[in-house]
Amino acid sequence: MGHLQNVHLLSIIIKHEKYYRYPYVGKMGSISYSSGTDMREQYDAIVVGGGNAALCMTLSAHDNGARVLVLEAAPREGRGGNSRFAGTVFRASHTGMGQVNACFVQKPWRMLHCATCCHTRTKIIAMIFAKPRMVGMTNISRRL
Amino acid sequence: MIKRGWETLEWMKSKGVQWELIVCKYQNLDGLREKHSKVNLEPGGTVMVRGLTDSLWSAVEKLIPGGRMTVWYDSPAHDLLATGDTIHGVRVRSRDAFTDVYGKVILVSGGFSSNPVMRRQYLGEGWDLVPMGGTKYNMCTMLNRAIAAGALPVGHWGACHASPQDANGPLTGDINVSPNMSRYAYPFGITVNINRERFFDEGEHNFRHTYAKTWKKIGDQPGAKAFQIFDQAALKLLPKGYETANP
Repeated sequence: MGHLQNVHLLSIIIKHEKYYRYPYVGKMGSISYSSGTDMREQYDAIVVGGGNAALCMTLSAHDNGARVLVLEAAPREGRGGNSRFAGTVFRASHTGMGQVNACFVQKPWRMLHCATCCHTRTKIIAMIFAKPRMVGMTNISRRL
Repeated sequence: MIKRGWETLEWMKSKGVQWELIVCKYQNLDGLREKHSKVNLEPGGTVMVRGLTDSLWSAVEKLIPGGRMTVWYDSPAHDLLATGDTIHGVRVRSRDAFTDVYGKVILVSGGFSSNPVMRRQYLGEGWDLVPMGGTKYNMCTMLNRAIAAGALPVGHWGACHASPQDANGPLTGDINVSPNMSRYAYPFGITVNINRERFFDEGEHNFRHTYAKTWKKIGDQPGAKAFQIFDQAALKLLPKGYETANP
């Protein structure tokens, strides 16, 4: 009888192992910090999300010395949020073609010219050289 | 944010993001081979990047061996751990248990784009059934939890970004298909509804100025459907994604 009781107790411990591992599971507003804080999953920053903003946040926090946990809802193959599906065209103010050009890691364009057009707005005219010879482009915006 | 915008792009470059000039995305360069001709890029939207999240995720993964970076996949945040106005951490939902993690919480999770109930609730009739070109994991859970915990909702909840997409596209985002489903070349042809009637000025402006409002015009047509019709001369102007279309 005593033996059976021990088995029963063991099964209870196994069943509730997760509560031993995380003893402070509670409802909102009922968290206890009274003891055993060394067993908590503690980080400096918990980033919830896995898209562009989340990852920039993650890298920035890590750069600044934080111990970071990233919570991605998706499995690894589905990570990246809507940023993964987005067109990822960025708009940012810049000082001109020199600054823009410096941002490119690889330069598929051998030559880039910046020219201003009417309406005092800057248009960037890309003259594109591809493989053996120049790939021509028509002025699409005029056609419209 | 405006002043430090470009600086941020350069910082992202330092993390491995590969910026390029936006030229291949919407124009079909293969179709345009006249010598010495050129393309004008619109002011604004100067740079783009391919594989943005892949680059950023690799940067994050490289930091894992250093010991200060932990990534949990398949780990949707379920709730905030709060006492009064103080947030202590996040409850994470897994298959048969919750795990509580403690630390400063930064909510950078998605909106309600994947949640048909909330789309119907906030955007209105028909929005529960629209094909959705993005991730299927944006259920708005943590935004709701934050509001429930006392955060002040701000912003525009009654509208969204939408655009003309292929009628045969997937209902939820498929990374191998969805990026090719944009149908923005309407300025090069005419667009008619299922009653063969034109219903908007296709050539009002470059598509960049009109695509985000054209969905509404199409959505208001019978069956929320339209056909884009091009003549042979315009075919070379169509972006690559049109090759996947079923005429």
